[in-house]
Amino acid sequence: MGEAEFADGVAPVAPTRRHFYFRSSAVHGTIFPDMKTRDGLQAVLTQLEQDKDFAAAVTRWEHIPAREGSYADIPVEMHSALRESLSTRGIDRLYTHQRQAYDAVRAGHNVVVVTPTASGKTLCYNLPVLQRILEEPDARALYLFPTKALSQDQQAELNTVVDGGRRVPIKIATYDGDTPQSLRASARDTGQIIISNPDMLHSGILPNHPRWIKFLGALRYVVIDEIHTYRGVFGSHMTNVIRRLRRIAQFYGADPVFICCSATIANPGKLAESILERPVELIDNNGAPAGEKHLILYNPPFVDRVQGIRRGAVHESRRLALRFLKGGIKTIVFARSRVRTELIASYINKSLANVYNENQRIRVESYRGGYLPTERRAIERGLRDGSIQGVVSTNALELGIDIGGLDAAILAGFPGSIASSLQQAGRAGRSQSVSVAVLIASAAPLDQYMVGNPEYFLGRTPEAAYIDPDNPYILTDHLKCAVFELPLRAGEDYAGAGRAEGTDAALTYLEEEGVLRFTGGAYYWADRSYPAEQISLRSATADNVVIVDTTGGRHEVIGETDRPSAKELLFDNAIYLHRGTQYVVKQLDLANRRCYVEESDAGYYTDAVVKRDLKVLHVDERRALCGVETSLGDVLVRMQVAKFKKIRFQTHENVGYGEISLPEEEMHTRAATLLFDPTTVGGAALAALPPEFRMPAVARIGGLIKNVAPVFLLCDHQDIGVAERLRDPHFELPCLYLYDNYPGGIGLAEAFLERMPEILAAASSLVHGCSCAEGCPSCVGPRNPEEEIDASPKAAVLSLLDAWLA
Amino acid sequence: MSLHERLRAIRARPRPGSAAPDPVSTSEPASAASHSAVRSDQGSEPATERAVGVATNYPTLERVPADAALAGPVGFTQLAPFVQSRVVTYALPALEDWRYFIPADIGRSELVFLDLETTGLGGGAGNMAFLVGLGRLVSNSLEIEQVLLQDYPGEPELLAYLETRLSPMDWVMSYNGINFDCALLRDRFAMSGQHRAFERQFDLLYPVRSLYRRRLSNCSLSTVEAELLGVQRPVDLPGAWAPERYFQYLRQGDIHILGEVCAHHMQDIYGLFLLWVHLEELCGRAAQGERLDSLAAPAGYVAPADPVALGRLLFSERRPGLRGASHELPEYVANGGSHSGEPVVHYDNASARSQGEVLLRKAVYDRNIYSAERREAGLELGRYYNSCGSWSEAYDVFRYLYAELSDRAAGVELSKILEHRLGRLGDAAEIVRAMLRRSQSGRNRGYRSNHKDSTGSQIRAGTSTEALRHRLARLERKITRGES
Repeated sequence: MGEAEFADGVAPVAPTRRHFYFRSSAVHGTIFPDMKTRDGLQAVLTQLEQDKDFAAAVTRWEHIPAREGSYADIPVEMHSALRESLSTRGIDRLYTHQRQAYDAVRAGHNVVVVTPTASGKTLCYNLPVLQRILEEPDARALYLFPTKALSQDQQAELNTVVDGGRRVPIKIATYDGDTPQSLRASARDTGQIIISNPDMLHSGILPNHPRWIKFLGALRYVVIDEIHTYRGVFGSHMTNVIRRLRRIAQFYGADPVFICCSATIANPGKLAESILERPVELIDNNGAPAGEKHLILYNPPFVDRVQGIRRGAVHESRRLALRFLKGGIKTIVFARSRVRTELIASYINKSLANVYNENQRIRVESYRGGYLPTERRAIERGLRDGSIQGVVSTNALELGIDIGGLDAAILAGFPGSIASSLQQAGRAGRSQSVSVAVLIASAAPLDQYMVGNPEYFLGRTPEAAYIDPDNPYILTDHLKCAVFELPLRAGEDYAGAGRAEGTDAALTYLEEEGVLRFTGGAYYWADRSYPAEQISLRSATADNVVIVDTTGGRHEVIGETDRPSAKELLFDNAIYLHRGTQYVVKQLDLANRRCYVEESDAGYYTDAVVKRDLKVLHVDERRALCGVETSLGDVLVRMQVAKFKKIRFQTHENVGYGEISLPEEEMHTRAATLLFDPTTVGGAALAALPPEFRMPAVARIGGLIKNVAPVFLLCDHQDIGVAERLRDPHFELPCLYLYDNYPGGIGLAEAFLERMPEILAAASSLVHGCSCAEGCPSCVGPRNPEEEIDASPKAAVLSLLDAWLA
Repeated sequence: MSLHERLRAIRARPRPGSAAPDPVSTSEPASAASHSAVRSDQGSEPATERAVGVATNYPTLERVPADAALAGPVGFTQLAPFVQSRVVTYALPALEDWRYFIPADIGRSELVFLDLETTGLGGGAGNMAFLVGLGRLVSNSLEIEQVLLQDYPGEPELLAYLETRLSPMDWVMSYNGINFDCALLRDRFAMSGQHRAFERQFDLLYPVRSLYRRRLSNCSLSTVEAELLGVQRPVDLPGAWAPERYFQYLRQGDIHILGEVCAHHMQDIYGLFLLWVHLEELCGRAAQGERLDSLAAPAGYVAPADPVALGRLLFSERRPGLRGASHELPEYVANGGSHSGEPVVHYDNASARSQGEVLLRKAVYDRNIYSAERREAGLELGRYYNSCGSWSEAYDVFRYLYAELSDRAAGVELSKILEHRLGRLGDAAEIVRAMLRRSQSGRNRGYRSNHKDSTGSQIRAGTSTEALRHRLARLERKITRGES
């Protein structure tokens, strides 16, 4: 296939208007019956294999053979209503892992189920829960999902199982921040299964447990889906929320069994046991059949071999997606940002645009956070029922939202972690037919490394997750909540696995602060506030900005975004892309959390230039440690968008700049700083490097520490922020900041300094032991042609580390 | 003698409480004042002086504060470990027996005026009541009992005591009790394994909101007292400070730290009682046909009650804020609602209804009133006329709302009367068509139809464009079938 076929500029109508491509609800999956899809994909794959240009850019083509399913009978005791419901969905036997989960849960064991996408994971928890409620209508279950979108998806899924209560008489209710006040009481009182999220459990349900007595006193099961998302600080909070839940449930006489599900990570069983503080049975023997799968690593061909410029991942993804879509193959494209998601979707639709054949009867949608829930539901439904053949998404579709089977997944750029790559690639794949996942590398060093070293990409185990629930900051916060919920007897086990270390110290501290009162052998809440309100489980703010379309006197909410992103995406005069329509921002009203936009037809989109900056507020202590000077104190991490670029559609040329005047986004936190004073061993080692190597070498050590430290600090690498300075304005020395990426800090900076010798030793031995030649993502990071560092960054970093830590 | 006049004649004097004799309160108020740790100068003088600045014809019942109970936290008796209480009795004039506001079958002896002081400001399991006040009308006096929790471990005893003092048959009068006071006590009982529903409640916040929302700067009880009842508290502590005082008391153990809190709490209950008296009198006098502007109480403090809300209150048997049982049912009230033992004095359902009707009719045709209020009034009236088969009155009201105020719900009702009662199918269809045209042209001009279910009344249902299309299609089918 020649490139001409995919030429742009054939759109017969204005490309920027909402309906520039045809949206047909009449087009259904029947046009692409499975037979055709299978043949179609096989045909396209054969074409690709024979396409010399394509084949030349492929660095690895991995065939994963089909796998037979392994099955088990539906348990004999299964309620007839449930059995019928299953059979109407074509299920007359279970996969072995579903049966194993069912049996384990029935035996009262906590379980964690780890199987790939589309392996019938939801039945692993729904079957035992529904069966139990049918046997014992007073029994209750709580389902926790990390996002509202997943909750809504699960509510829809469960509703089809119980058929709105007609087939299986069970009442399911969602209880989250979006539940109207008028429905809350009935959800509490009559919902047999409550679907919620950890944040609501923490700040809404547990502090108000007297309203939930009926529910909590009969709580038999707690389902925690996507448990791998509870890592680092978020996971440490989650553990404490579970401690509180268990404590209150026990107060009302209940001891629930936990059913967890996880995506593939290195240590799902251990993570689940850390969060539940109970033995957990790991179920990872996937019994679901899988069709043959192709995994292709693709490095776009050079446009300019001399300068090393390759074709962009956006256009390459569009080209490949079109090839699949025109072959009748249901395709998902994962993009790395919201803007890219919109761009790729609109480029695909523009290429398809044709009024005479209804865009070739192919409907492609974009999908990301920030769309209205109804829009998202409609897209998900369209994907399930086949009326939408293609979708371009951010990682919003990476988690378990049900969008039915897809045949091709295109990753427009490496998503940042192996675990994410596996999740995204796993979106393509059905039980019977062949599927394909293609990773298209961008120019970023990490991407280039992955496609350049396929063995690394394929052989690497996904990242591990760590938590530290007894972190004194987090523990103290949750002890406040726990005492608010019920007086804590002296010596009472707050944690699940015996008394948490540091409990007494925290209680004494809180009593001294006057927040608790110790009297009559127990601690009581002695403050007028509502503690859960001030404690957020996540670092991200929950504030969001509503986007209002004011075109032609309209006043219609079209979407929303979180507040920090609003500054990057919705500054005045920004171009906002929303499902193929272009808007220009007339006014961003941050105070009232509103953004007014109007439709526009500018030929460009906008990209904010974000400046990050770190300011030292206060130094608590300085001491020599591990051959360098260190400092510990308060810092202000600032993010400012001061400028934006205008980028022309299609060509992606920069066609101008604009100014942005918005207040900075600030985070006050704690940082540990390594100061490379030339009079210290470390400082001298750095000074010995050629000047142009110093900055990149320090930056790479920062990255290295970020990779190693989570094992020691029991956090996630995202919980640690890194910034390097060649000559810091405050310390007037080269330095490396390691800051707590959590407003206020949760002690990571302090803990880092405490464990610094071990962390540095581990970092050094990691680089020494790494089998890579010149640096890879596991050690000092891959080569970056833009850096003025030696041919091998590894050698430069090693020479620094060796001299420093000798 | 009107209630106003009689109240004016009163000087409320504290009397020793029956459960907890208070030696101090029997002495002169002036000496009682000396017990106060925090009392300000202006509070110690008799109240007549304060009356000067306010409308002179307003009763002085509010001057109850010049008493020992407010002077200090005196007279508490230990009931159980960590639980104390005191009772303070205020003599009242013989209250006129209006029966237009609370349903006629609720006996006054069943009323309990309830208010709490709590350790927190929000809700949640960590918020406890440390001071519980119960006010009862006992033969021409108001008896207020304050129950104090001296420390957390006494809560079970506090609850056990309340259990003995509150019968499930009592009607709990409160200000925001539905969402706060009663809800909180219910939670505390629940946490201690007891079920206490508080099914019979009358939360006066609701009627105050509907009658005075647009007339008061806000609906807090202190604003109601100051702006509506003309009460100025001699000593007062902002309610939000109460938790801090309590924590201080817990740490230091000196009951005088709670002096202002107890005084504030006592006045809250008294204010609640005054508010109830006001609402009874407002409804009673309105039902007897007094002009609304003369009902502003105290004169000059605040604009008269919202005539639409007052009209609706008199006109219907529903009472906003009333929870519990049969009293809300129209037939119960309709058959007299007599309460054994107590003669029903001023209760005449028909006169209340007819005065309510007068107020509503006036409101509908008064161009000085917000059109939203006029619509509500008109729909209430029309619905009533419909329900008792007065089609021509209903027709007139709906016709007016539809023609003058372009009210869609009225248009739908009008078309229903035309269709079902008057058999004028063509006219009915024409009205629906006109409404559809109007909504169409509204949309073409870029405006949105604002006929959402804003009033929350079921009569608004059926006004969506889709529902109108259905109605029209049905009418047209009927016309072609020649049913007219």
